[in-house]
Amino acid sequence: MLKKFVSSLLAILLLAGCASGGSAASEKNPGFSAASTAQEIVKDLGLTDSMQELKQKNVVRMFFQGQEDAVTDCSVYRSTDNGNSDTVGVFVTNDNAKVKEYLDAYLKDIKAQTETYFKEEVFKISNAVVEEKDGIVILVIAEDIEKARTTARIFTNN
Amino acid sequence: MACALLCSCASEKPESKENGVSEETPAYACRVIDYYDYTKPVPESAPADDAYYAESFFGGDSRMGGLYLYGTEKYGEIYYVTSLNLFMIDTMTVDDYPDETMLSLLEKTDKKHIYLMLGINEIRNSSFDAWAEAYQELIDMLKEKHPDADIYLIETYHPRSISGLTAEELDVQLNKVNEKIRDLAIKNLCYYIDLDPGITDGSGLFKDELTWDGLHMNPEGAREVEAYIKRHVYRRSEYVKEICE
Repeated sequence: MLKKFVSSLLAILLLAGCASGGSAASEKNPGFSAASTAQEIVKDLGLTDSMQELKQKNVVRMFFQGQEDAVTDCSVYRSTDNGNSDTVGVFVTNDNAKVKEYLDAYLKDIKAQTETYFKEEVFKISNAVVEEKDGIVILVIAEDIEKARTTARIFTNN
Repeated sequence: MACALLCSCASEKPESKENGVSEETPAYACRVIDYYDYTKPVPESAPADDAYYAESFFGGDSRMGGLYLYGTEKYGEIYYVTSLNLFMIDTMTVDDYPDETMLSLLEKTDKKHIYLMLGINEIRNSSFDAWAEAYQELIDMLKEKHPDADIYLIETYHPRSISGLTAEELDVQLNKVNEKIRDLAIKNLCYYIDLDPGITDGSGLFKDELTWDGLHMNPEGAREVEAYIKRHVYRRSEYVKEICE
């Protein structure tokens, strides 16, 4: 019984790590939703065909090595097509610099991986768009780099 | 040797007056004991036959593609996802099966032996804790959906090189990921396969003649791996005994 309770508590805490409100980051950007922003960027960039939202716990594992406190809200869409690295990620955080550090490591990793499998994607990853404003970091990997940058900037007011 | 007690069922053997067992004789207690050593890789044994492959599911990243593309075993189910990342096992589509993910195929397979080859695309991770958590969830799902299946975790064999890592870094990372795979196998009573003794050269690297790029199997490599897997099969009859006292 106790084991079940502890497991449930851990599961809740893990989810909360990427979806809790009331943090400093959320207070800086009231009403901001990572999920709806990511969805909107995907739509604006015309990427809807093959994009699927990743489970939040897997976003934390994949981008932040399982460090649940790296973000307070997040949403990531990735292409489901093999070899297509299209990505839209929206991260709400109390520490922009830390998130950008993790994203740099992630980009370096997938670039090395892509060099092995899909060389044509390397350029796209090398030119990944990372835009930020206080408490929010947006990552876009897409074919149309300029449009990706413009779209990300709309949401970061840059 | 780590012996796992599969079930401790105190069954009563029927009394037999013909055999001279009196009514006062205490009942026998029987236990089924698994003597298999889960802390070691699956040991070499007599090769399995074609029927074994027909009952097997092989799933993994592009390395498994070698078996899919060049393997000679026609009866097993083999699937791979190029560049598969365990964190996207439920979203990335399977090569040649655009409507399926590896997770969906694993959920619905009815094969008795399930082989997984994962880990090479996460090899640059600074930590494998989160990866192991995700792998544990996958094993949990398999145990729930397929309680009678044998689950084999294939360790990450030693490629000749990996983009973005020096030889020394690669050694360190391989040790880390394989340690996690072994821990998962032991914890979950799965079987783990160490391919390295069968496919690496004197330097401990994937034999040049078995790979086309240092990581992926060529046709000869696929045949070598197939044969190695066939010779490293867990047979319940060899390890599980019923002991009655």
